[in-house]
Amino acid sequence: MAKPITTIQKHEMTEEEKRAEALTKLKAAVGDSEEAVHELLEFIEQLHESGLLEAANALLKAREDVAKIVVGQLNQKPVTTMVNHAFAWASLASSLDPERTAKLLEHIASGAIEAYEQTSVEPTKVGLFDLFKALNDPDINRAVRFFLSALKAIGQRLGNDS
Amino acid sequence: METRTVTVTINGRPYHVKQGMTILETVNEHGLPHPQVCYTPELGAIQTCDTCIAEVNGSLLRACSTLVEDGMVVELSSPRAKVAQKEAMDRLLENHLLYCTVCDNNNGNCKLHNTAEMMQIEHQTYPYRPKVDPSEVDMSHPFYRYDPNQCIACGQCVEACQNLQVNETLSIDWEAERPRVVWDGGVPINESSCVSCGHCVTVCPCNALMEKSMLGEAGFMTGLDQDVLKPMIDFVKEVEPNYTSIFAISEIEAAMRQQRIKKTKTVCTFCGVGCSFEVWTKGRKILKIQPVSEAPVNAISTCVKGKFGWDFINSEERLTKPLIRKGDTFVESTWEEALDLVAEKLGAIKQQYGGNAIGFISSSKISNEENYLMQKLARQVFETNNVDNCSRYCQSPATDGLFRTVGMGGDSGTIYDIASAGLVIIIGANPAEGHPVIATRVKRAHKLFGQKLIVADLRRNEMAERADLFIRPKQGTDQVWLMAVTKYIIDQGWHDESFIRERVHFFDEFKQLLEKYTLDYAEQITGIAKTDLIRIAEMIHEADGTCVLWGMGVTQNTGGSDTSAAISNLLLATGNYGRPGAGAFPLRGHNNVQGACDMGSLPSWLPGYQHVTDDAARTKFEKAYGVRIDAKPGLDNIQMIEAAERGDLKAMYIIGEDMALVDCNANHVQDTLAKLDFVVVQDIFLSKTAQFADVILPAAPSLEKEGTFTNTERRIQRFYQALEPLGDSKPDWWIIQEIAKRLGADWNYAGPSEIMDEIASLAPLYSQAYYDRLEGWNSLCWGSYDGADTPLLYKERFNFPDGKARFALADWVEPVQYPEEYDLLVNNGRLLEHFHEGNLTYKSKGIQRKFPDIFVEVSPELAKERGISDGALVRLISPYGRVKVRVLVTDRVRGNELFLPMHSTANESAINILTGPQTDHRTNTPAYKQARVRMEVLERSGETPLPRTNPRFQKRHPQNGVEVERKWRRRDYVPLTEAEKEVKIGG
Repeated sequence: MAKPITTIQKHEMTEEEKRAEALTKLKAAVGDSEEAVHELLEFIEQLHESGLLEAANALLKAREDVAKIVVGQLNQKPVTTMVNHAFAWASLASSLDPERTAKLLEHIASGAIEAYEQTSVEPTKVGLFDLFKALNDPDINRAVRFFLSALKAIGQRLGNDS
Repeated sequence: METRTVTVTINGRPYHVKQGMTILETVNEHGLPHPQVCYTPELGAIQTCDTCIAEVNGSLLRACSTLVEDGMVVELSSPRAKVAQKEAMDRLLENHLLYCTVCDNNNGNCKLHNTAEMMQIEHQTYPYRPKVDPSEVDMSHPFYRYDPNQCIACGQCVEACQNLQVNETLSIDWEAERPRVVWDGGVPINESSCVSCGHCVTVCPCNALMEKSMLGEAGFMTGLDQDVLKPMIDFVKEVEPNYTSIFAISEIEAAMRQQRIKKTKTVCTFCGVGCSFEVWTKGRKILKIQPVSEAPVNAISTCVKGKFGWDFINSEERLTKPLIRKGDTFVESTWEEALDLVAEKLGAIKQQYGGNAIGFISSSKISNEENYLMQKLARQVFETNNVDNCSRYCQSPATDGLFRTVGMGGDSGTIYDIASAGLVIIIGANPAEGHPVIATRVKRAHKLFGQKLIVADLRRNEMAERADLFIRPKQGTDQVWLMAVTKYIIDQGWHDESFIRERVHFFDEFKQLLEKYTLDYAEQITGIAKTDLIRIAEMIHEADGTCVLWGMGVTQNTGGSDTSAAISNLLLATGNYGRPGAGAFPLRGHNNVQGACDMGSLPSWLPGYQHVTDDAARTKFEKAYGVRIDAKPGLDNIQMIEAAERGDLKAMYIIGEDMALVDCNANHVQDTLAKLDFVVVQDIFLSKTAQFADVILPAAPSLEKEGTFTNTERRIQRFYQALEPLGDSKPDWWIIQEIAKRLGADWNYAGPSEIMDEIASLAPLYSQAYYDRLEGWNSLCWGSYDGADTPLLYKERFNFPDGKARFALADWVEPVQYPEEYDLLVNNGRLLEHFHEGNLTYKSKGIQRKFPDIFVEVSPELAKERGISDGALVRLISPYGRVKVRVLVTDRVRGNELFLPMHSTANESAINILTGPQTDHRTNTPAYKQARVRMEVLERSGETPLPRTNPRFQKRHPQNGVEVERKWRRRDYVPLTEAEKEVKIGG
């Protein structure tokens, strides 16, 4: 006669058995990737020596609080403004042709250096007449044309926006 | 029928398409990217979002609702079309905050996100404005939440609820200042008529409706505390770069999620419909069930169990180690020890008494491959045909009725035939609760496409409420009205004469048999008015195709087989076989009832319906198995219990069947189980049956293994492993193989696909069911002996040597008579929330909240007569046993008819403690439906056993889908299409 049974006698593993089982699994896993484990240990050693491990640990333990602080800081107006600036600059940069930008920057830079050297050796004052005279210089004229066209382009966009 | 082809020019290129298609369907078919936020193919064009507007012959029109015409010129991306699309999208985004990176719906499949990205939306023209206070996010329902502040009011959820699931709970309050979705006109979700089918959550194009199991789990940053998450969302909002940058970041995060979330195709195990879907898991956690359009049966449809009922997988009560009976307790053991013991004991019994002293019960829940191995174990290793499965308890009579008349034991068509029939007749089944996704197809066709519906049932179930004609025949008399209606049809000359002449035998004999079944006789026996019988005949006559769906209200009767045959006769007489939109549909109750039978887990059938008496078939298997196979059928479930009672059967090996509760006269079965020398039970829980075992073997459910199931449509579908087996549990096929090996069998299946290869080589119906043929969402409906996909049976021939069907000639079998003192009929069956006795579904906390315990339904008349009310405690006493349950008074039942759901795991309330030993006279299926009791009142009133938050207490709110016209009538709605008005941008 087999009576219905509802009780199950579970084989409760002792702490020792559990530990032994965990160790067996671990050993097998380590054996499978011995080299990687060595490298990992070395890496941890380095982290420990440099004190980074300790810092990272502390940061992890305090992660909830840190997250709150970080997000709180992020929500400050100056920060969001800054991020918005960053996005604006980033989007500007992404719309330019890098080759042409590089060329332009190169011209401006070399022009500036030359000008700097010129001004340091020629301490003479530039008069109004000199200014008009300088417009005849083909190099200066080219630079002025550049700035005038730039001003025109900016002005046009401004007109479109308003 | 040939459909005409038209040529349209889209974006300058010509496309040849079928007439009747919309522009959007054409665009999608050719993979052209085009916004369509509110479009889901299963729902059709609901026209709420305007994002699909295109320039058609120079006018702006919605692509979703505009049919293609010959010579049409469509520009999807003309400047004007783009402006309209952008404006439409801006109007949506005014309602929705794009915090994708910290949103649980950012899984690569968020339609709103993907559309905004595809359209390269850079900025929000109309700033986001929340609709309600954040406290109004509705978290009341156990399974899903609604956040009005994220809802774009596209109405797909409403359309799905009203016209696909047709539960008619959701609507959009279009007249409100800010339209939003409401439940039953505006109550908390949990207090509404919502049946938790999950359609609304599935079709939601954003995160407004989400599975609670996803919240805080899906994303890397979504599990943060509210006091971190909220400022983070604020931050994202405040920064508000152009959206492309946000999308880039959220794309990265979504890609990271793909690495962590595993998506596995599986096939549902909660009924025979065979829904398939993805299960999303993170470790062992089930994040959600994600239905997909590619699923061949259900597409995006699910019910509460399939969508939300999987908690049992990780239940603490799962069996995780083999258990061996020692004294009065089960002791955990190793697999070696348990398997050795099983092999030794069963081997010894075979040695001493022969293989026929052992009974094998296979399961309608395990895979085809596992069922195949179970019968192979019985036939090859133990050399006995004593193998059966639980279809004996439900479906054998239907199979028998079909075998006798048309020759194949399965649905004659598919869910598509049910959906497209002119008339559906449901007899003794309640698909709205038992086969919910099939029911949705009937409800939708009935509501939208003029399909007619007749329901014959004792109980006023949901389908009965919706029916054009609802009849309540006296219990056990269906065969009489079926035959009377058939006779009337023939008398009127409405039968299909040429069909019968060419394709059916025994018409004259059949007519003779019908002589007796006049309308008067039928009215007298069944209690159905003659006018109703005539109406049924007329409706069949007028319908373009009739499908009959039946269930256990037919089969679980002493005349269950003959009634099934009578259904088939009616269909034959009216030519309703072998054509689309017609046929016989015995609704299989479990996920693999069909497959278990197909695999030969039956005492008289070898795999693929090759009879054991068929010498050629037997020889084939004898050769393959290397043993002699008895030409005599073995014992079925019922006979096994009888043989055990006599002492002829010594041992049983039972997989996944709680026969101690689901067999009739359960007290008796339990006594008999206790008498056996040795019982092995293989299950995932310590079921009632397992409690009688000597050894319990812990099995793995479908999510933890691979295999195939065959659904009610005969559709073979693969399921894949989503999780590792819990603890030391193992797939059933592995366990069976280990036992076979220990008894000397040379079995070396590396996995289910190798088992299927063997099945394919031996069972012609399955000869093309190879795993690579069934890869992914592919499926195959068996039905041809060359193994080809055969969704519709009997197109040319019926399954007899001469290709002709036969009218079955059988008179009505009277139901069981009881002594007068048993004055109440106790009907029984399944309700929506639970599966079978409930071993699985009671493990779901959410289902528990909605339906925590069993009850007996009592009619208002009877309650009044006995002076009881909701919550009363009654004892029901039959000649075979007694149960004690709480009362629910409802007019779903009438007079002296009770309804006791089968969802009980305790002897104190299990229906089968009451049912008697009478069976169907041809198949031995218990006549569960013919139980009678008397009632003793123990307490006159008490707490209502069903919580008030159960949808059965609520009234539905039907309306005509999403009713977009109400949106268009709003004063602030500015049309973007030109059929209505010039386009005006800017709000």
